[in-house]
Formats: sequence, C-alpha cells, structure tokens
Amino acid sequence: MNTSRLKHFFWQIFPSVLAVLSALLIGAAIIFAIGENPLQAYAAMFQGAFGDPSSWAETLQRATPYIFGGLAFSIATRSGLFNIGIEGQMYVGAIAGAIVGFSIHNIPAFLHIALALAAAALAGYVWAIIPALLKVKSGVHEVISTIMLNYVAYALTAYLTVRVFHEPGAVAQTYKVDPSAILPALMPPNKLNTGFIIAIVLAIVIYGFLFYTPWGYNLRVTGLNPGAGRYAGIKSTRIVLRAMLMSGAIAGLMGAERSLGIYGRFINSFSPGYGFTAIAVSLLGQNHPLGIIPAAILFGAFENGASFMSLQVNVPRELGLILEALIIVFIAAEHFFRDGLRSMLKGDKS
Amino acid sequence: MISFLTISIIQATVAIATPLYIGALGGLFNERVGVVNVGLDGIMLSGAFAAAITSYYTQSAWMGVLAALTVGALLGLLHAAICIEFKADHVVSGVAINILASSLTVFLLQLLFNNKGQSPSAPKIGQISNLDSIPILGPILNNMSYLTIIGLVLILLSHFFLYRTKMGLRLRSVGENPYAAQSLGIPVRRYMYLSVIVGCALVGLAGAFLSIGMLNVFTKNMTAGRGYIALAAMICGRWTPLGSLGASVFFGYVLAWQMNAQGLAIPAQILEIIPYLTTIIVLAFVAKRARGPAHVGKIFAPSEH
Repeated sequence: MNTSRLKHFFWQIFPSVLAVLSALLIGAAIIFAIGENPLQAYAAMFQGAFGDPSSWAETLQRATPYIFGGLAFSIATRSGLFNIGIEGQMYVGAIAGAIVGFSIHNIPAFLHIALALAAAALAGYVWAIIPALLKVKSGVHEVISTIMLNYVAYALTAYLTVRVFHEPGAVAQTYKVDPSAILPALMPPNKLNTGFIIAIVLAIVIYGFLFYTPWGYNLRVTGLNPGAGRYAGIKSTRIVLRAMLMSGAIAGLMGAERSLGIYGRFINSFSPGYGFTAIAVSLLGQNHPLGIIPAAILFGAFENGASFMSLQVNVPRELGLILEALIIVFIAAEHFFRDGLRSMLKGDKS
Repeated sequence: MISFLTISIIQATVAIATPLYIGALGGLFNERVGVVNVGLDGIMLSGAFAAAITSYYTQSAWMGVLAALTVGALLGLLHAAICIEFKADHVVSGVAINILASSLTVFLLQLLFNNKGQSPSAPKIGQISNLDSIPILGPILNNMSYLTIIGLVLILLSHFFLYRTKMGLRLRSVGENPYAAQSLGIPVRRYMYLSVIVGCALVGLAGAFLSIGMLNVFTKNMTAGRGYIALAAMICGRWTPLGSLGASVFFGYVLAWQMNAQGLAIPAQILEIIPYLTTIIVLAFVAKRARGPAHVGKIFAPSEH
C-alpha cells in the first residue's frame, strides 16, 4: 500500500473513529454523572462483549442483522436513495421465509433453506418495488413512502400472524418452521447461525460488485451526481430502481435470518428497530460493504456488552443504545469534523 | 349495526387527532424553511417523557407542558445545528434523534424510577367540564382537553401568520429559495433556526398531550409511530396548517372508527393501514401538484465570497 492510498484510507475511517471516541466520551460523562466509574463500566462492557468465546458468539449473533441491514441501506444510498423502509422490508421477508419454512415438508434441508431464503428475498424485493416505482414514475420521495410502507408491513404481518397462521396460544406468533428450514447454529447453545456467514459472503460479493464491475461503477456515479451520469449515457432511473430492489431483497434476507435462525418462526413485532439501527451501522461504516462489518460488530458488542455491564455496575443497559445514537449524531456532523481537521492541518483559513 | 357517528367516536377522533395536528404543525414549521424532520416521532416521545416526569416532580401539569416545549425546542436546536451548521443530511439527523429519544427515555426511566415500562402517575392537564346542559355540542365538548383547544388556536394563528403577515411570507420564501431570499436581505439562517426550534417545541407539546393530556403516565415508546402519522398528515395537508388539521381529523376518525368497530368482519390490522395507504395514494396521484417547499431537504450553503 503506497502513501496516497494509506492517506485515503485514513480520511475514510477517521470520521468514524472520531465519532465512536466522541460517543464513548459522552457516555463516560453520563456514567460519571449517575455516580459510577466509567472505566469500570466500560471494562465490564468489553468483557461482556469479547470476554470468552460464548460472549463473542453472542456479539456476532447480535451483529448479524446489522450487517444485512447496513448492506441494504448502503446499496440504496450509493445510488442516491435513502431507504428508510428496511424495517418493513425485513418484516415481510421474515414472514415469507417462515411461511415457506412451515408449509413445505419432506424436502432436503439445503433445498428447503434455499427456497425459504429466496422467498424472503423476493418478499423484500416486492415490498421495495412500490417506493421505487413511486419515486421513478410519480416523483414521490422515498423517505416518506418507505416510512408509510413500514407501517403497512407491521399491520400486514400482524394480520397474517394473528388471523391466518396463528399458533394457538397467547403469543402472537406463527407455527414453528420445520427443522429442515432452520439455519444451522454455528456455536450452540448460542443462536449464532449460518446467516452470519451468509452476511459476510454477501458483504464481500457486494464489495466486488460495487467497485469492480461496470454496473457498480454506474451505480456509484449515479448516486454521486445523477446529472453527470446521464451525460455519460447511464440510465439513472433504471439504476436507481435496481439498487432499491436489491436493497429490499437484502432486507428480506435480514428478516429470514431472524425467523429461520433465531426464533424458528415468525413472531409479531419481533424487531427492536433493527432496520433503523442498521442505518447508523451503514453510516458508521461509511456506506462501504467492508466497513459495515466492523461497524455492525461494534454495535453488537455495545448491546451485548451493555447487558453484562448492567449486571456488574449500576448502569442501565440502554447505555449501549445511547452510545449508538450518539455515534450517528457525530457521524451526521462528519463533514464538519473532516473539513475542520483538514483546514487545521493545512493551516489555511479560507 | 355499525355506527359511523356517535358521541364516543367523535370524542375519540378529537383525542387521536390532537397530537397529530399539533405535531403536523410542528413538522410544517420545519419543512417550510427547507428542513426535513423525520425525527418528529423521537421529539414527540421526548416531549411526552419530559411532560410526565416534570408533572410528577412538580405536581403541576402546566410545568410539564413547559418542560415538553423546552425539550422539544432543545432537540430542535440540535436538529437545526446539525442540518444548518454542520450541513449534514437532514434525514440522518432525524434518524439519530429518533434512536436517541427511544433509548434515552428508557435509560432515564430505569435510572429515576427503577422501572423500564412506565413512569409513576402524574397530574394531567385539565379538561372542559360541566357543559352537559348544552344540547349536542355539550357532550362533545365535555372532557375535551385544554390542549386540544390550544392546538386549534395554534393552527389558526399559524395560518394567519404564514399567509397574512410579512414575516410569514418571508419564512415561506426561505423554504422555496433561500438564495433569492438572502439576496433580498432576509436573514435566512435566523429564520431557519427559529422556525425549526419553534416547530420542534410544538412537536414536544404534541408529546405532552400523549402523556399528561390523554393519560397520566409516560409509557415506553408511547408515541407508537404517531410522529410519522403526523408527518403523513402534514404532507396530505399539503404543508398548510388547515390542511394538516383536516388530514389529522380524517386519520383520527379512521382510527377512532376502527377502535369502535372491533370485532367486525374487517380485521383491525387492515383498518390500521388506512392512514398510511391514504398518504401513499395521495402522494402517488398529486405528488406533481402537491409539492412541498422547493428547497426542502437541501443544504443551504451560500458562498462566502
């Protein structure tokens, strides 16, 4: 790696590192304000997240939906679209995967899993067609249409869960999927499953796609400057449409990993907001497929570590979530930091 | 038999619509100066929380209202600073505010009351009473929260302000074309900051209605997406105060009717979809005509030279 690439790499990750450190600093102030020792709390958090193989497994398990979600968000963002509907696309994917999981029987596991995942991806894809077409045909802003579709997805999956595929009992959940459709666990008894491997492979494939194929190049150009892309003969509407649909399909897979790998069924409103936190993960990873992996693991570590921490010191485990929110506040202001530091280093005051 | 218009449906419509039109009005003051705010839900949640705990500690609901306005204004200042000063993506900032609000409120609940679910019960805002004797209107007005009335007054005042005053015209011009506005000597940034801060204070007020207007406690994530419905109402109401009111009342009616119609052939989950679907359909058909302020969501970056 020569110096200019190294420099480029530094400027790419610098705002993210700074955002994490700033968030940790404010988090420390919060811990101090409630009368606990920040160092002790963070040490407990670290131990809870990475202390032994089983805590690693839990951290990676929690990171998995964020890798999928981050990838889904980043591919849309790279084309210039803000897909805030990952949550809804994930829900329809999760239930589609579960339906295939419990309605087909007596087929080999690899085939059953493949079919369930395909159904999930397709459901997310279909759910993303609506905002994509509205954007391209009617000029409806995707942020609004995807937010609205999230609520339609909540209600639709709730309807299917409670009225159609309801397993008798007090809990709003569907039937259990067949064992042949369960994503195999990697480190039982932890729920970490092959979905994690799929997420990592997907990240690498998307990396190759975005940076080493003409298709990916066109997508990135369109996102950076739609006008320039058009001059270069790139059909921007088609690219935007495709990117949104891919984003939806990945979000669908994200849901299937939960329903087939963790719960073994669809549970009504199972998500604590994976699709929204995934936006933060993608931004922290600079919308780069390979940057998303460490960002997702960091978020998984915050949540897993914070649970452990809350048992050791008197700090509520929501601190982990607060750190995540602070990180994206700082990421939001990244240009401010980056430009500020650049001009400080260069010493010019223009 | 299904009834479409009973006293209880009207009362429920008003109760559901109140946080929506106050919230939509707050959102409108953001977007009219060109700032998108998808953080309405988080700001509403923070307002609800601030109102409930202040009302609990001071034993005064109006202090709670004041706290909700203050917290809303502070979050508005944060949003404005990120969008205007740091020139960041407005949607990113809104998402950050939503995540921050939902985690911080639960964190503080646990810390203050050792309870992640809800706050202790607190004094609630008063409501109209003793009007039973008036025919028809009496039973409808009875038990109506003072905040509902305040909200209606704010809608009318905002309409007058935006369309009948010079400042209102200037404010709208900032959202349409800030560069032109600046060239006419309008202090664009000051308008943006003030309008976003006031708007977000109103969203905080909408939250106060949820916790100490309708109920007398704060419960975890009690907005349940009402901030987003308020955003939808604002769009369906084409970014105007009266339109937002109309859309909010419509959404309120649909939801109130749905609660009343429980157990009918149409499942509740399907009826819940109506406000969202309406918004999508309205947008799909009128997006070309019902455009928001032209400069909404874009970054205002005047050249310094």
